[in-house]
Amino acid sequence: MSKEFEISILSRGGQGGVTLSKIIAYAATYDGYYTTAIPKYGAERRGAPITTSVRIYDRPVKRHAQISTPTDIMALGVSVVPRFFPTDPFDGKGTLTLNAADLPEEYSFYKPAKLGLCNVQEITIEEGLVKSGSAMIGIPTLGAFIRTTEILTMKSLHKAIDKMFGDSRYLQNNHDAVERTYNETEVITYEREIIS
Amino acid sequence: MLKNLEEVEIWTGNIAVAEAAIRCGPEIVAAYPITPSTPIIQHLSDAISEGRLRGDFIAVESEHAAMSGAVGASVAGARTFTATASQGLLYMMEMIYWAGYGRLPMSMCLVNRALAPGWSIWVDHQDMYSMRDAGWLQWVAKNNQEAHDLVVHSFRVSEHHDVYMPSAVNIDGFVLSHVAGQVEPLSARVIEDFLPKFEPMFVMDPKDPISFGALTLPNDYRLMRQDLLDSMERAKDHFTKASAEFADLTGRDWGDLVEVYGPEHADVCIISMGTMAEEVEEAVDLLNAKGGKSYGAIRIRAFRPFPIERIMDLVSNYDRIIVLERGFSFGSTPPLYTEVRSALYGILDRKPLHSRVIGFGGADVSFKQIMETVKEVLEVEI
Repeated sequence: MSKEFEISILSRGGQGGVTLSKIIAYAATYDGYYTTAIPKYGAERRGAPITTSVRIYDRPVKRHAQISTPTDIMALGVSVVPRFFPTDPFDGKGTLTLNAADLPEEYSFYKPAKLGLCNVQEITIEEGLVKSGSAMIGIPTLGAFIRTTEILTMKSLHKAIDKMFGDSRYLQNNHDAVERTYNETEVITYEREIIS
Repeated sequence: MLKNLEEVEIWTGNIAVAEAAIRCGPEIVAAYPITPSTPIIQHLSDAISEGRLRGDFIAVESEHAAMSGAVGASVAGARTFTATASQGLLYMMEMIYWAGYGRLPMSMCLVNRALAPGWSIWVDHQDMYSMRDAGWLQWVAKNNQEAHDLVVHSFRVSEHHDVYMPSAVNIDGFVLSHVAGQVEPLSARVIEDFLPKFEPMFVMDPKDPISFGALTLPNDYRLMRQDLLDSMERAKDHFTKASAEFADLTGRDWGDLVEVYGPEHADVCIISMGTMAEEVEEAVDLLNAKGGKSYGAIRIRAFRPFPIERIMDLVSNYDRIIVLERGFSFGSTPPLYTEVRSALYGILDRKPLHSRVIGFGGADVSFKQIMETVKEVLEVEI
């Protein structure tokens, strides 16, 4: 069975969604996958909800069109998912990785096969990833994403972080933060009734 | 197949192009920013200021001046690079013809973007079509890796004395320019083996004056145009040879003037260019898996010189041809379709031919839409 993951990263302008998509693409490359990272084209505005997509395939990626029905969704905040998906995009399949300690009540109609919950915000602050008063939650969310989706390895994620942020003063903080979010993510797998 | 995962970069099409240009070592980059090509120019400007590229960057006040700078650089014997898109190309059009008819080798990345009005920053091929008869070689990439590789091809073919004319490397705006994909960067060794040093055929030098673009009487003018026609023909062989040699050096076989995909013989052949051609490959695989009619594809890598002979050779393998493209020729049939139809006139066993223009003004084209378009064509027109 061929592997075709179409991942949507939901964030807000300024949170680094485009950079995250590239880190995931590097990690996917190190894990031997074919991949492309696709920004949402158009004007960028700080604070506005934004989607970025990553395709991860076990064969060359020949698809260039935007991703409209992702298999896996990673959200940096709880407010962005209903904004982009007012109806359930999962239908019992795929994963949702959410930066939240608990599932918000208004998420009850989402039916992913797997849900990953992690208080990334708290871990990010505890790991000292705060710049100009805001927590840099982007990279730390990737630990939770890997734990939830099980598509990529942590080894490749660390390598991808080194590749893109090798000279950053926050390098070690990010490595530590993704380890913590990976370990502290609560993964809930839903049992579905199989209707034959 | 990716060979060395450690060396693979995740580059946007723009960065893939700029990094290839850096490896070719242009002595002059004369450019003016325009969406979606701006990151190419920023990247090259950074490379020059950081000393990665030992050339000069001419920061100009407009695209007309950018191409004027490129013309000046090429006529002075410098390896020359620039990039633009859409309205920028239109604004430099007078100088585009000076470069083309003036037989000045250079490489320009044209990041394909729709023309205004209505104002659109997204992909279609109307800008590529607008410079069709300017005496430029026009190459079209389907993904980031090919965009990277084609820049090096473009310098090699343009600068060859049998050809000696400028090249435009076309990449789809945003769909390639801003999407990051896997690129295996070309090594210095490959560049050294593949791309000879630029040896200008003539150089404008105040110490040894020549005239360029002077008043030309009809007899000389005719000879100049005939030479341009002949050189375009010779460019076909040079590009084909370069592609084959490149495949030997790198293991990346992009085809020749065209790339053929799918079964050797099929009921239906889909002809297209750029990223749409990769979505076509996807559609061809899925349509063939369904059974029933069989499908194949031809991807146009060279819009100028147009691969007339290759199309004539290949069409006998198919019963019916559908041309999909991203632009128009108002008052006539769409440009790519017109080219294919013209090529088909040269053979006795003429095939049914269909045309659809899709994906213009930035409209997304997915393999699903291509499958639907093909279905619609076959239902409506047979």
